[in-house]
Amino acid sequence: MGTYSKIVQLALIVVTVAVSGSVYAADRTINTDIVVIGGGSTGMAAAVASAQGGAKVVVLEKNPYLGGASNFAEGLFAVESDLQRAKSNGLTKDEAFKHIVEFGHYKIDIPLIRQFVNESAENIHWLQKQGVQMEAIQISPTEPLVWHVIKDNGHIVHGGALITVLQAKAKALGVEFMTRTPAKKLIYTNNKVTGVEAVDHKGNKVTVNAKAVIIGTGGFGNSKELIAKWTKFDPDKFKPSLPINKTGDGIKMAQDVGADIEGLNLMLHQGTEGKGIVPLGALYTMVWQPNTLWVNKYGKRFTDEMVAFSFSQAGNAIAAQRGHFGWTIFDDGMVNYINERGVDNGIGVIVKVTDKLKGLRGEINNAIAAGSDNFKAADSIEELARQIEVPVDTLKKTYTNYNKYAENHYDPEFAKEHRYLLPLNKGKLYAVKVMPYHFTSIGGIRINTDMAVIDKNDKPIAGLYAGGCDVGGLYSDTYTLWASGHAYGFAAYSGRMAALNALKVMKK
Amino acid sequence: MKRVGGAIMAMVVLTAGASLYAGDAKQFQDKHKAAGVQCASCHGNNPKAIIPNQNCLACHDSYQKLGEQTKDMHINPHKSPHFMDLECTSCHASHTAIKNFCQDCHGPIARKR
Repeated sequence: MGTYSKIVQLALIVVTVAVSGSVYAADRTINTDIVVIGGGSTGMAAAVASAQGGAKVVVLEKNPYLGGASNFAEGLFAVESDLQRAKSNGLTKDEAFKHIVEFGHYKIDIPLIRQFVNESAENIHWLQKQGVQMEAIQISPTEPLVWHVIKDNGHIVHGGALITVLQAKAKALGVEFMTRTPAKKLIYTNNKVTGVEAVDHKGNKVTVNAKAVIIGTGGFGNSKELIAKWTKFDPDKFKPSLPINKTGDGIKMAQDVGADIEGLNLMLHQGTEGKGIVPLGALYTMVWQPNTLWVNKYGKRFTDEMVAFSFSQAGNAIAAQRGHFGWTIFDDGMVNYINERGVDNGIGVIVKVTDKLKGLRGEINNAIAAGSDNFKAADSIEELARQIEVPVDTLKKTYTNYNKYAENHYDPEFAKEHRYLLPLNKGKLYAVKVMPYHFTSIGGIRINTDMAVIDKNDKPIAGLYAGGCDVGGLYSDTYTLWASGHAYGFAAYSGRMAALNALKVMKK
Repeated sequence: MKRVGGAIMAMVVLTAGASLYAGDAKQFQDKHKAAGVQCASCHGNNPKAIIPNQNCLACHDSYQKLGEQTKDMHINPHKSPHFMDLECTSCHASHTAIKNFCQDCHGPIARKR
């Protein structure tokens, strides 16, 4: 080796040491009172409530934005709120509580649900006090008026309005936000959680020492690996609705320090995708309509299509079919009906009930032109059966019977209400494939009614709290859409309660 | 000093026209260099430290103003209907091409002109 190359080598070593050494490291240690993992509605409510209680707060968020799925969800469940009073709504907390625990087959955390239902109105009132504006609405004919839909905050829409109102509030209270800084590990010493280790997007280690940690990372819906490991679902067939990076971080970190876990599952909903099908567009909206005809791969009906009103149950009904899909069938008569009178079922507030789907015709034509895999059109039921590859005779029989039910205003098969039984016998016939997706995972960390994380002996793990969709005990087989906005309501509620309880412990 | 930088940047923006955005692979660092922006103006004294928005907005004013400049886009990334105070560097990492995460959900987003 020549002298020259040795010098170069030496120079390289010097440079490498300088760059990787402490000169350019930007590791940080922060001492604070409360550290919140996840800047969604759980975390934002926790941050504001903590700061209002006089605590120093750091929020760690792994995405480049705050809010997570709470930006896109639209409303919060509550009973006996002032907004419901203003609409002379008579539903009581007791009725709602009983309905929810019945729906959950009592396979849920009943004291936690009772407390949440009882305090749900106060949760809304607190959010209103922070500047979040809402309106109580009834989302469908099969649900009560319990959904407190968030109003826009300037140009910010949907749940983003709640998040940004709380974000501004938290900022004014001195809360420190660190985005693109995923928490990696809870610091656990002497049977106590005393902080969090995180890494920022430059790879610097961020150590946050705190008196309490509040977890709200939104579940594991974006982790194929955890869906396969923790649930009965095939992650390739049950896809998340949005890529929000929810990979079970909070649940795993809590598990690592001894937290008990329960009820891991997915909150399914119906949806579709494919060539020529616009996400959340007109054809997508068709798979949410109760007055269409649904068949499985055998060409048979399998449910009262009114289940479309309750997306979580509709998702389960589709999931139960062999192959986990169905076909939504409608005709030109239905297209005309929707163009003239609008849809019977909306999609949250993105598509509203009675919206006329002006783009439906165009999207149908585009999907046909694109040779769509999951949308088919035909001039007869036989041809449609061949296109969607179901037995011709069976589909023909299903279709003939269905039209007969429509004529008779009675569905002896599944008792669908006559107002949603429209004959499908005008013009062309159409079929859109309907498949299960999920808005969020359900189940997770076991907590007590103080939102304190508990271990396998039901003992709270000191210094650790959790809320929102990271928490177990809220649902059994699925989400009750009857209590519309239950997940969002609980997220904000649990975040704030976790903060209040952490403050109480800190002041002792 | 920062104001001067701002004035230079404004000139660059005006003269560079459409090619500044367009989802092109052009590295922002080149624009900054050409405008005479020093490494430390963004990075401070530590290149490994994260760059806070205030360093960017010292020259680029505000999200509101940036939103005006990109209002011809069918989805205006500087006037998000979802988010507030996005970290500038989550899309604009100066040393690499723009990575617009809006596209994760919305599909390709480009300037019309």
